[in-house]
Amino acid sequence: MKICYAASSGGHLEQIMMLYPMMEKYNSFILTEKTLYEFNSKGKKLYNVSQVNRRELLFVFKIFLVLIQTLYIFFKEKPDVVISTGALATVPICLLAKLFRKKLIFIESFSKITSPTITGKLMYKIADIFIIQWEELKKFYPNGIYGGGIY
Amino acid sequence: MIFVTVGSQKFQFNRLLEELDNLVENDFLNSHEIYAQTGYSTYEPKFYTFKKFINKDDFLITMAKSSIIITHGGTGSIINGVKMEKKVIGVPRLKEFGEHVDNHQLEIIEQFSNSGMIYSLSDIKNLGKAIDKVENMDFRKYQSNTENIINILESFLSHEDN
Repeated sequence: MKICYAASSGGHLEQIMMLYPMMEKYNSFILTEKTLYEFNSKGKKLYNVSQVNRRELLFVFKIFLVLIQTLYIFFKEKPDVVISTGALATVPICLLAKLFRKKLIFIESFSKITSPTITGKLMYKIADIFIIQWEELKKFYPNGIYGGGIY
Repeated sequence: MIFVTVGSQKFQFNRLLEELDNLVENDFLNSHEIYAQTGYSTYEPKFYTFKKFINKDDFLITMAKSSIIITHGGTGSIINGVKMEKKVIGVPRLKEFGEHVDNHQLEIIEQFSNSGMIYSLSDIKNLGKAIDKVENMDFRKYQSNTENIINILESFLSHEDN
């Protein structure tokens, strides 16, 4: 079983790296955003896509670029499972996983407590399992599985 | 030492860096006791040492050496500080100052301070007071659920395999 761990930069990436014990057990690779600072993937195979946020001017162009980059990575690696901690930059790989009937696991970010994220709301509809880190989010994700803080 | 970190997101957090310069200028803090990781901020500190980005290992080493952590509301920085049982002061990045796309850092900082794990600072002008205050405060430890989440994931994956 091959697992793709997908996360945007910063806290999202910190969160997915907490799953490192799983990365050691399964055939694993990481997909994240390219940033100016150095990221230590602890020896795990790493792919970068462009950094993108929904408020920037070139948003449409950037997300399209991420999609192209993701297509290449997806077909090269052919993961059986995609686990994402969000956000935007991981939407393409999650959609591809769904489209090709792979397993999709979404973990809603630790940093949102009283309201859902935009990526989370979309993923809730399509993920095979959806994990929340705060009980408060049950209101928005009644079928979400409460896991507690991932850190 | 006081370690200041504003994270790696593509937004400035000049307000916090400027206030630290003010505190040094007014002799409230010594310049040599502050080290800052300034990220994408455009303001360059005048009176204390800083680096734009530091790698994860150096980040953790610096944090371990510090007694007080002043951080934006990024979960990674907060959690690392709390796990190391440091005195953490959380200052949220706010949308109105162009520091983030929304105000979710208010939420995360509030949640941590409500649980008694960190000190929440909303008005930057009170940073000096906050530094004084946390010296004598005791904070609660963080309960990690990493293993629990991995168990949920692995049990799902093993069912799928069969």
